Amino acid sequence: VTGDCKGALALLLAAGLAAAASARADQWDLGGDPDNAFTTDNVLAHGAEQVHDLAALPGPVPDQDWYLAPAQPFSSYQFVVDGLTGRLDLPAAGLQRLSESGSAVLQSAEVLELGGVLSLAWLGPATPAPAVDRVRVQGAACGTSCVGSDRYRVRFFDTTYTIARFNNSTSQSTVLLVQNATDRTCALTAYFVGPTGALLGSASVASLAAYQLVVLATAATVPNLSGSVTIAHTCGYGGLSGKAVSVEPATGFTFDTAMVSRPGGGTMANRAGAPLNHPSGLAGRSAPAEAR
Amino acid sequence: MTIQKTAAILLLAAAWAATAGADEWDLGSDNDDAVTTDNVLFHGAEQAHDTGHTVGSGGDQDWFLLASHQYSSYQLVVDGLTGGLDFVPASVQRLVNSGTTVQQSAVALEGGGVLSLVWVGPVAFLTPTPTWVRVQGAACGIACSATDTYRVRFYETTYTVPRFNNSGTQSTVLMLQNTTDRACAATVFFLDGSGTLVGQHLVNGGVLPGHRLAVVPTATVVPNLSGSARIAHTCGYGGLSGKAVSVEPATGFTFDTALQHRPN
Repeated sequence: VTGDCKGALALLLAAGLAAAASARADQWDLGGDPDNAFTTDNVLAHGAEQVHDLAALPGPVPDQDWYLAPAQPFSSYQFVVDGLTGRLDLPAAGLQRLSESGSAVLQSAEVLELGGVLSLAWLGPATPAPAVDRVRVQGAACGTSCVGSDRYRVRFFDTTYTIARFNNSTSQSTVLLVQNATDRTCALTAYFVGPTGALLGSASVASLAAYQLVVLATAATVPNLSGSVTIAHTCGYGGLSGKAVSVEPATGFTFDTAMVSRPGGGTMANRAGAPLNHPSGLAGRSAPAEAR
Repeated sequence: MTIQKTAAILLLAAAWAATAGADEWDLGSDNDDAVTTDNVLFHGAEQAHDTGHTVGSGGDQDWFLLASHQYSSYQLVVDGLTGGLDFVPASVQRLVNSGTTVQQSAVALEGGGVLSLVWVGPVAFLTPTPTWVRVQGAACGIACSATDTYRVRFYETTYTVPRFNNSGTQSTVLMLQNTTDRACAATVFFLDGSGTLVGQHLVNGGVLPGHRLAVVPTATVVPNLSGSARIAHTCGYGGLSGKAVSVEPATGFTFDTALQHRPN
């Protein structure tokens, strides 16, 4: 073998190994500004879906994946992890929501669906200023032996419901009927907003039992006022079902107004042709952040 | 370094790169080849799998673990098959009893290129019960590779109706249309304000033919009661359309309540 031939073979070998290595990497872990700390640039918008791995980092040290999850006032959110491969065995503390600085744990995940799904559901701030929460995934059982094929999926939803009309002016009055559509206890807050968008009042249900139906007479909270309703809750995306009913005895009129969730993004594969399982297959395919 | 050694290393690297293209649930010792799978699907989940991981002398098997909840229904859809798979209904099956008993095989839809499993969750148990779905039997068998792929999607298909009211002079009628061209079944579970089951009704005797509209006077099932309803069915995600209509002759009031599906 000549020296030229050896050099070419070495280059081929290096290229092959590099290709194999990059094929296994989660792209948010690469480069000088990765997602390994609260300084992550990876922001999720409603409907986002991503595939990540927990491959050990140089050292080796266990991987952590951090996300920025914007939280708007009078809104609620859910962050779901599923599709775990076998060696991860993430516990409830493997998925946590943290303060903006990343220093304080605000909540750990709820374990759903026989242990294979982790879910965080939370309410946005009640003040006009939006927050930017951090979500961290860590604690895979494989630890420093995790490789690029030790993967999971994340999905992020704005779970807020809206009701376009309530009216308690003159002889009309509106009742909200809201059902917990899940078999888990959760909480909700209904924010009543005037035509200008100003908050007029709110009503909370701290504990809504499985399948429970709550009937809220809105005239008790916002008498002689009209506008719309925003419902923030911890029941998860699609976790409520409901409507508003307005009656006007003087005329015999009745009005039903549906409680509407934010539309979903549909299936990822229908939006683009990239393979679903490769981390890059879903990269950047989050639903666009839409003005609410 | 000899040419032979270098070639061997290159082959190893190529094999490693090829493995990187395999479906990740097949890799490692705790994979999805058996009932012990850790791959749990949540409503709206979508995954791409291959059948390139042969086990012994048999072809690849992919197992999924799913939780079935009370008063709920589900659908698992397999589509987007590549050419070497040629799945048949028995290729996609739902199993219970720790994966030992086949409960149902898929229904082939859309000319055979789509396989669908639909089922209704338990009535008696508040805690979710496990069920497994197994995909196997690709025509390419042990010759399948990582490019022999399919797509799987999972949905909770339950509809909710946030209000029925048969108290006082008010009464509610439920209208349900099968929006598909296939016969299916639907059960309405009536819940009171606290979420307790107060009645249930098997729509149209258990068979709702394609495109058929069923009218259910709920006062015959749950007289003098009010609350909400859940509809579990085998019509698939989006397979029903309907509403509840409540009328109150004493006041002349009427109320319409739309069926709501779980968003995705």
